[in-house]
Amino acid sequence: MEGQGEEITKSDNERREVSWDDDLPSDLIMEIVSWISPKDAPSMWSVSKKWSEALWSTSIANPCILFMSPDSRNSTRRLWFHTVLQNQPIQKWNENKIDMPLIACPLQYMSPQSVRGWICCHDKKGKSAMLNPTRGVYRMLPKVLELDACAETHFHLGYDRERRVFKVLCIISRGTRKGLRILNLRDENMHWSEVHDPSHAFESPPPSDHSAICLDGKIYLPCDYPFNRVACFDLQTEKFEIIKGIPDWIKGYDRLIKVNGSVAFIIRDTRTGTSSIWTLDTATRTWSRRYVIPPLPPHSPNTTYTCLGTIGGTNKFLLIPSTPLTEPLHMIYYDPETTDTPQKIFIDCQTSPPSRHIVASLDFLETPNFRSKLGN
Amino acid sequence: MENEKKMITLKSSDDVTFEVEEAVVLESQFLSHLVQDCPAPEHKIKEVTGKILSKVVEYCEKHVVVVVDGGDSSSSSGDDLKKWDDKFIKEMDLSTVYDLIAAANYLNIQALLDLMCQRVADVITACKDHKEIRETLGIVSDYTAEEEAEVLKENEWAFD
Repeated sequence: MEGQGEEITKSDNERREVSWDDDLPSDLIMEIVSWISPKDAPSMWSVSKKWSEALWSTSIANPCILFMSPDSRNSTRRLWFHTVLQNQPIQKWNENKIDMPLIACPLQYMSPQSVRGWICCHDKKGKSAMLNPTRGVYRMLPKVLELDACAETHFHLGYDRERRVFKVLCIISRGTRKGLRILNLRDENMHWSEVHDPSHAFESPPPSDHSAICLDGKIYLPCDYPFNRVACFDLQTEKFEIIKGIPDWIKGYDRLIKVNGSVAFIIRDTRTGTSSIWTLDTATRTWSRRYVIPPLPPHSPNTTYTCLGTIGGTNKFLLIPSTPLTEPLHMIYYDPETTDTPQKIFIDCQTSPPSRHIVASLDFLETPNFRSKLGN
Repeated sequence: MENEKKMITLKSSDDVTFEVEEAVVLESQFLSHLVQDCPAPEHKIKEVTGKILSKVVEYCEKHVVVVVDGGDSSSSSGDDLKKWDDKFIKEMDLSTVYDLIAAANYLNIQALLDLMCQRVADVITACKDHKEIRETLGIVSDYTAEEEAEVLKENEWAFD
């Protein structure tokens, strides 16, 4: 048998040209790219469209939850993230822990959803930064200037897939110069330009940690506090549109989240302890109630939970404690298809006990999955 | 009875035959099913050439032996196996790797597929830029000059 094998190798010695692009199916390209480390990813995008698509394909994308806790002793903020396996409950922390210098995330507020792996963090006085924990890089953005002393800023990151550009929307509430500014990250001058908003959706200042999501080249924001409408900012046209149609009896929803690729809002019924999720049908502009999260498992009476969103924009919901922790770090996971009740999942983080105040961010769906194989 | 090992004959697309133990065949999920469903002594694999099938058989034979022996000294045999794998892939040119990826995928041998994909990833990592990756793998870019400039600009930004 070996003799035969060698013989063939010799006769077939001339080099045959194969194309790793045309002939190789996408799923095998994905197998290959899953072994490439994040730092080599950027040159892969430029190779060809097929390879670039394989990198960003949702089937290899790797949703994570990122937790951040300040570490005052070392002047760092501890960022660590957990990989969520598709279609499986979250069970255990993996080793993906990064310590970032405080300067990488110097600002108090962090967006709860990432956009193509990037998270925007900001303060209320015009400063903002973007960080990419997977690659361990960050970038400060220019300050929004000419603000009144009483002005308050909120920042939201978006990505326009058509034009392949990140844009940051800044909402200035309060003061005489309140309004909207936009920064195109391709702009060499990095200039914040003014956006005209005829809807005046942001006249009343929203609470500080309100949710915004980016979906299909649009940023969706809760507006008119207590929220009963949704503002939709088109990143390409830079125009606002207000989405109405939320039933009048809903006096105010809690947050916006992504559910099964659509925009959804979540509203908690304090009487029954359930939360309802309403999704938007973009074609008909109608909202309908799609899911109800049953009452949560027993927890200490002082703890309240916030629905952070869904894993990878699916219908698997994650809730995290929104009050300082009195129990070890945990979260609540609910998958309406496989479980009847929400499950409490403790997070084993022996190496660094988190501070009582943690910030969590979700949805790294748009980050390529480089770590699943390299981590093992 | 236990000593009597069942032998199976595999025949490549170009009619090269390989006689292997059944345990070797079980490394491939595709062949396991084939052998179970159809108890013929010889199996023709139309999608794989003799050259590639010999590599597949070589890999599976090596890996099956280690699993059997692994009972008493698993860690050292694990190291040996890794060394063997390294040597196995180092001697291979890229067009063989390409064919082995397709074969491992078709025959459903995950460990071999992983090994081969890792080898390609290593080759890619060793390239200094996207142009070298294209040259090495024979990829023809389908970006227009304008699109390519845009992507490069985006990457520059993303890489910071």
